[in-house]
Amino acid sequence: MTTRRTPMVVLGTLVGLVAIGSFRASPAALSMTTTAPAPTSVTATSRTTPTSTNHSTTTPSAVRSQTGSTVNYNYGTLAVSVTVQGKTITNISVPSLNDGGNSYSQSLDSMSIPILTKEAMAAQSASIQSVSGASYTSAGFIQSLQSALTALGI
Amino acid sequence: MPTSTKPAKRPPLAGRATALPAGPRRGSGPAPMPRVADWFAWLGGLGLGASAAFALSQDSLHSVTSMAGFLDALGRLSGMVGTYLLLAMLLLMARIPWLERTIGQDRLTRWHRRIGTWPVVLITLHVVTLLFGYAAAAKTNVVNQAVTFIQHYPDMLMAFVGFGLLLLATAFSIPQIRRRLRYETWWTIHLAFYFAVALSFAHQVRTGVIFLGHPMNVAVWTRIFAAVASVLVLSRIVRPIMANLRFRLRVTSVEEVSPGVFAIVMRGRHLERLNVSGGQYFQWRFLAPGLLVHSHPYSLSALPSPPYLRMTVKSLGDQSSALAHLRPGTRVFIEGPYGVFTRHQITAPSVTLIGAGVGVTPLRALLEDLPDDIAVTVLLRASTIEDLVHADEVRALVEQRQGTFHTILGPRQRAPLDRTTLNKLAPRVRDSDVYVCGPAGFTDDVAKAAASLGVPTTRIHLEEFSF
Repeated sequence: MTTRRTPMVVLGTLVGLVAIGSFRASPAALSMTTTAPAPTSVTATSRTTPTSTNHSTTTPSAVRSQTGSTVNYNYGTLAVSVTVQGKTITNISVPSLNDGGNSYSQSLDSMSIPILTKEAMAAQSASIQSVSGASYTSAGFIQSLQSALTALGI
Repeated sequence: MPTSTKPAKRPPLAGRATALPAGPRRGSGPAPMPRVADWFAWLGGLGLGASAAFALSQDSLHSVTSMAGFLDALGRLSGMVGTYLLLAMLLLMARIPWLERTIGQDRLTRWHRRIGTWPVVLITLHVVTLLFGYAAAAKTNVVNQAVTFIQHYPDMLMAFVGFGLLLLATAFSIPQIRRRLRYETWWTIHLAFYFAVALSFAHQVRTGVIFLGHPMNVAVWTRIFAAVASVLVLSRIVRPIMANLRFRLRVTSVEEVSPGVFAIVMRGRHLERLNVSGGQYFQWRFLAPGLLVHSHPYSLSALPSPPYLRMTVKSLGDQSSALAHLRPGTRVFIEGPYGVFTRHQITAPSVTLIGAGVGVTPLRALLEDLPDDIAVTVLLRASTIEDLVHADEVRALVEQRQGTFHTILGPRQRAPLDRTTLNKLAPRVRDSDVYVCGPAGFTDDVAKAAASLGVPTTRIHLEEFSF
């Protein structure tokens, strides 16, 4: 019996390997630096917030950019850069991200930074919830973003 | 007991003190299900391959070219596969009924032991590679990295404690060390494996790259853990408790049937629902001082005769000596039946049953359970005639079937059960399924003798007892 079922286990293992292996042949690309969502979504955000649309049309201001302070967030360092038009945040990016180079913090960052960016764009401020499971990254992101906004006087 | 004429007030087993009252015997528990066991084997293999591929699903050729990336991928792979194998080992010992009645606990235990080294090797590799890999990426040393893990990574302290328990429990399972331990000590330490697995779970789903941001993967993996846990709780705790609430077994009598050999008769309710085949055994736990904590395996020495059950033990170990002094009325907790030493293994037109000393017990029950058209030869070995156990019962059952019955008496050296003796006393052995029960040395010798006479190994069925 033992000898009879061993091939089943071995063959099953190979089938399982191939099945899952080919199913996931192309893993999602992990980008180290995350840029803000495409401008279309910014427009969408603006459109859903009539006050800000109103505001930007009545007082059109220059486009300004500011990179926040570089924050040590336990796994590495990050700095958030923000672009505003008047008082409206139009772009958020993370130009400087040193995530310690290990797969854990890399995937944590690539998961959490897009969410944080989106939340901050929607809130138009740094008052956002941290991403669960990525509290260090969230705290670092919020801190750096806040410093950039403060520097811009927003 | 329809044919009994004994007055009701007398102990039901008086007269021939140890024999169970005549009456309808219950035997022939459910047959093995080889297909189901095949499915388990396939599924086990599929899961193993899938978990390995899954562990590497986030890696690309590029990511493993750096030293840190390579160690990282290796660490993830070894952790995933090691954990999978741990779960498989738990399931092999989960007393899953289909596996028990098809493969038998002996063989399941052998698989469990054969896999045994791998999880600890792989999980140690997991810990070492990730410590070095992460330390290399962060340009720090491994001690700092370990501190960082525990301080800053979610649930990592639990994982480290679990790893410690895994190492501890494994160390005490190394054969050379285990031999020096009392069974009870080993058993208690072995429980640490459950805690090790449980403690490791949280860090897997909260720091594992394949789980972060992949709620689907977390859901699947969580369900696998939950399923294993439920199977263990159901089949190792809930089912036995339910069964014993139904059966409510109590000791009725303890009789010395041969020097140092005791037949213990128990009485219970609904024993007709005990689906046991002759030759199977139960794990027995007597709710008496010194016997309460651990259960031990003994075969039934007769098919159940509701409301009675009987087992026969030799008082050698601490536990079996204590059994000799059991008081009538003592509650008995059973788990089982287990074992594939049953009529379901028969493929030949005849059987040869060979037992040494108290090894006769499963054969005695099997004899009652054999199909009518099977020719029977029984050989019993003992040092002296007094040491033959239940020989009268066996003789009567063999005569009833017009089979052949021999006893071989004398010290092992002078009266061996070798090839020549076997050929002379059981000339039909080649055409038989051979069932052997006795001490390990004895069963090995008889198995060799039978094989040398041309009995295929698939027809040689062994049941060893050790103390």
